[in-house]
Amino acid sequence: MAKNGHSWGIACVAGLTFLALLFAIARMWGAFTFTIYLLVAAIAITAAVWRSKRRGKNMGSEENINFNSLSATSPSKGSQNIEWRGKGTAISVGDYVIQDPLTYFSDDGRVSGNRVSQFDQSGREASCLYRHLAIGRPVLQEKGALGYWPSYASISPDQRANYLQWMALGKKDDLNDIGYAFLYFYGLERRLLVDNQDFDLIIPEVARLLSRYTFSGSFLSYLSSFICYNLARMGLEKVDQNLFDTIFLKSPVADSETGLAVATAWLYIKQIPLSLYWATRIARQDPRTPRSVVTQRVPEEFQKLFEIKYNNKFSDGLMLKVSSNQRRLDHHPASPSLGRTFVRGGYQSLAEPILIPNVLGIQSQFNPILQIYSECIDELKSYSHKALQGVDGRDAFEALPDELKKGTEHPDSEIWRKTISEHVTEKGEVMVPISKLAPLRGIPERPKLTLKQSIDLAETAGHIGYGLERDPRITNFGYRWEDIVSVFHPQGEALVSKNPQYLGASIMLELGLAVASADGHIDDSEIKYITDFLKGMFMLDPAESQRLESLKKLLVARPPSIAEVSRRLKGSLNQDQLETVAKYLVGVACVDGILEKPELRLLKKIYKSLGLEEANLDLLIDSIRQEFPEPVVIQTGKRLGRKGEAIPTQAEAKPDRIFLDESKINTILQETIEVGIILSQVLGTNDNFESSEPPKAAPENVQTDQVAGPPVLFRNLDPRYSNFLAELVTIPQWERKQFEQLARKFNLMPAGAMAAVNEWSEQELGDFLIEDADPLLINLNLMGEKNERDN
Amino acid sequence: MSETIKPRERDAILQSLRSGVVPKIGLDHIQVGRKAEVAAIINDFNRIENGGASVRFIIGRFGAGKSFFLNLSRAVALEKKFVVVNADISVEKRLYSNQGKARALYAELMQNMAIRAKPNGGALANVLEKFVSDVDHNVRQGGGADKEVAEEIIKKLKPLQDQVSGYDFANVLIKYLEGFHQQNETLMGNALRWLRAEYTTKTEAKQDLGVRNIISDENIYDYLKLLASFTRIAGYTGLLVNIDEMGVLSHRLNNAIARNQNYETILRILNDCLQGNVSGIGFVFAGTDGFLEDNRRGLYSYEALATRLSNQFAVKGLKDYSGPVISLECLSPEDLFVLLCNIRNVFASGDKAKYLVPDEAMKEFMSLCSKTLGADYFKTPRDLIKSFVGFLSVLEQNPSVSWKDILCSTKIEQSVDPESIPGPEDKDEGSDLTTLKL
Repeated sequence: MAKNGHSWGIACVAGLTFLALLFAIARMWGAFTFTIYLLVAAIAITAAVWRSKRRGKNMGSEENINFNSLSATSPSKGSQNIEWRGKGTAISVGDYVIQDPLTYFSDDGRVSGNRVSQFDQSGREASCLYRHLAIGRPVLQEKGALGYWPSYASISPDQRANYLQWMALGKKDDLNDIGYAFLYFYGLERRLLVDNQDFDLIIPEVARLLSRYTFSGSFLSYLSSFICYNLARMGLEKVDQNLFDTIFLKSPVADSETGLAVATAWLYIKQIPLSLYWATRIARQDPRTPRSVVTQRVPEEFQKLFEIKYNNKFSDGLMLKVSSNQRRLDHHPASPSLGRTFVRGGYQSLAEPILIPNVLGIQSQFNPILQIYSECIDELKSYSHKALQGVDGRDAFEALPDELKKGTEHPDSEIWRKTISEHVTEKGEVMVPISKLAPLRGIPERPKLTLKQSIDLAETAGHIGYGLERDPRITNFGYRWEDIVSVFHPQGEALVSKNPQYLGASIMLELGLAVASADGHIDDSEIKYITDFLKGMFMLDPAESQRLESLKKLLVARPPSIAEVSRRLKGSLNQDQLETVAKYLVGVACVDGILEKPELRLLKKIYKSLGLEEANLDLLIDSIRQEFPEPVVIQTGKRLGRKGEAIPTQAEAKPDRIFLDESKINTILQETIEVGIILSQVLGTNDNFESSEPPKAAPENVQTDQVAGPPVLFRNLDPRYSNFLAELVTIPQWERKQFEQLARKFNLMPAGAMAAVNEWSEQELGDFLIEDADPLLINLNLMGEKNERDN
Repeated sequence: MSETIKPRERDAILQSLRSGVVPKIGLDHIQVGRKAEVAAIINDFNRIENGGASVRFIIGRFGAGKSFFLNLSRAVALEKKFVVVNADISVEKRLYSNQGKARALYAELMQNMAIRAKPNGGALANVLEKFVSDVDHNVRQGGGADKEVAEEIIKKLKPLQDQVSGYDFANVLIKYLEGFHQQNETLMGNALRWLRAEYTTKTEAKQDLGVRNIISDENIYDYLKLLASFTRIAGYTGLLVNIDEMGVLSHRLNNAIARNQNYETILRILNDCLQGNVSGIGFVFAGTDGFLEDNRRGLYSYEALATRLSNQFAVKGLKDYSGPVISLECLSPEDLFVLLCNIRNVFASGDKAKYLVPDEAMKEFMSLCSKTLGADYFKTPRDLIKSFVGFLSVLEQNPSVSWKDILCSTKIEQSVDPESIPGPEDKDEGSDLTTLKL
């Protein structure tokens, strides 16, 4: 900068010399007015150059910030006649004593050495307490009376009294005019931007001001910008967690877009995943986020739901990515004394732009967050609506999203528990009539509940911590008023299993118990068989097994109807699966060693309703019967008057080998030969070629000369196909299009030509010449064989 | 069995048998017995060839070989230059319906249309083009042009115009020819679509082809007759219509009215064929004995059919091949043995020296089947044949292994009879059984 000032001095001397020369020439010519103009210009240039030299000296000292210096008292570098009073000091102005003033003061009104800004040409520091100025009495003035860009020197004595009183009372009292806080901030701004001192003191103080006075958007904007800019200027990597929390968690800095940019840049630099707090802030500030009244009407529920969803999706937080283009950070000082200064013929900002990592530059990384935000709004709409209507209790609870219901006690929990405890059987099973549960849900008596009502009932039970079987969410059928449900405490959550394995198992259980109960009672052995079968056939998880067990209890208590189950089975299983089901049912019926008529009837009915063959049932029963060594015992039928049928004699043991009647075989062979002869006459299979030689290559001597008549090889072929065929057999395969073109070339229809040639070749060559594939294949070997034979 | 078997036939036979289905070609190599039945069906074809018509009901139990016999008749018909159409009846494809199900059956038949030169179906275009190109060739040989060709087609199809929709049929053929000459594949495709009964509205058909009618549920039998006449004009012997799984009509079609309407169509076919009202067409229907004899749901439940089809003297194994019904008896163990011999022969391509196993092995194999599948194993030979083909395949690929070793480890799985699933009207009448101790 010194070098720079030197060159300006030379330029100044050169300019003055040039002006003196012009002045002498003007005097010589007698142009008096022109001479005056030149003199004024010379004076202005000299003053401007002098000021520039002064500013150059100031700028040179701003390149480094002193973070550790906590100078309690020091003159300002930008102005020789104002002094800084920091923490641990006091200053008296008039009757006011200000502890920890953190501001500038001056005992006189001299302005030498101070900068001249675009907004304040007086040269005085706006925040400086000029102690020689008059001080009035504190007064209450209307808002805005202080004006824009106030300065201590320019405000009225009474306003000075207001300001000094506020300062003396710790700078924390309510303010009618934010201008007083601005006045104080100007000093802090100067201290850091011009003097580069007391970073650790000033940033928290500015953050405190921000938190304290939140009613002015302008104040928020300037102070946030100041903090962000200075953090970046200091170097974000040097900002520790405490300072970060102080600034971003305890002040509204993060409410600004710049604040968010700096905060996310810090998170990126520190490689800290995006926490819920920052995810919420990002979602709220992103212009793509849907705006909804839900967030204001039910903020707590919204935040809770957002938290659950965010944690579910990003249990470890979201790691941030950064754009390749860095983000530029500007700051425009709020102080009129530090506004844009006139430098080299123009105004220039005191704060140079700074580049930081640009996390907000990649918006796509926040899409999942926005989606969660939108989902929360959607899912809370119903609850928000209830909240607007003032609805509470069960209805409000049930309007909550499932995630929020989990952590909230259902309003009807107590009465449900009481009702359920009244229906525990001696075996410890809980069988509750729907007629008892439905009123708890406010459902009046009716023959059959709607599916919606039934599902509501099951869901309420789930919220309270019970599972119901049957569950309409699985069966898709509504409860009847006289139905009974089996209630159980689910392990973990009361999941509604839509797993096909579970659905299959439940239907099989139903069918099995229907069959088992056909004889009027269900034996333990039958239950065991069914249970073992289901365990072996279906891979159920513990929750599903528990639900199935509950269903089993219900079905044992109230055996099911077969017709409905069969209908459902037939609609969802294929033939093989139905066969397996049927085998299982036969097993169920026979497991107690007795197949009674009602069981047999029921089995037949099931077979029929499943669309299976009754004959297979007989076979199956036969096969089971053979597994028992005891003789078959047939009980007498009821129609005693009817003549019975003789029981057939026991079949002899099957021989290990079978014996064939040779004479019969000879007869059949003879007959077969005769049939062969008959068929041969028709089918023409006696034309033995006895050719076992390997296939020959395509014939080379195929005659294609039309004048010479049909080629010898094509004897018996309709002459109009001869030339076509001659060309056809020149290559082994033809694309269909080519083939059609070839046929057209000889004025033949392709399909007709193919049929004619193949018919001929079948008769003459023993097989088809053209294989109707894509592409068409020409069996050239046939031609080769015929050629051989003819030769 | 001394003739050489073509590799194409060998592969087709073995591949089909391995998958448990009846082969479409080379059936004569594995045919066992059925002399009278084969003779009867060939006799029918001769009658059709001479301008007559025939109808046959192939009746037999599960595994008796109905499908095999149907395919055999198909193969014979193809060799005799018949045009053969075949389809399986299902609930969605029947002879009579007013919901597009009869049209679906017709479309299926057209899709599966086969001729000797194209035995695997899809031969509709070939049949058309053969006719059209023959006419075109002959007219142009005589110096005619497009106009004369169209006139000649109409002239040739004149006999069809006596039948229902014959005029539209001729027009569609002309459109096909036009499409060919103009290289307009859309027009050709539209003509084929019409013939395959794929048009569902008359408006659309009018726009695309200028014809006023379409093939619909009400007229599929009329169009089959029309097609039969056309095939003869086109130079084929006639049309054979093979329809399998007729049991579906009796045992899967639960609506008695719908069932009877289908039986009415069968009655109409039967009457036309037996009374000589149609020519150049043969029908072969295959179904279980339940389809025929069930007095509540089968053909016998329809009085007019019962009187025409039943023969009270053809009982206890006595046969009457002069009537429309051919009852196929299940195979005996000896039949099965011969069948296995035939399969062994196919494996060796007809060369005795290449037989993979001796006779003894086949008897051992049958013993194994008897143990695994039960005493009636020979009545449903599908599983056994599948296993036997698998057994021989392994032997063929592992010549160093003894057949006895492989046989020890062979597993034969039993399939379930898919037929005769009881309908909803079947009630559990209850047996006299009260309790069965197991």
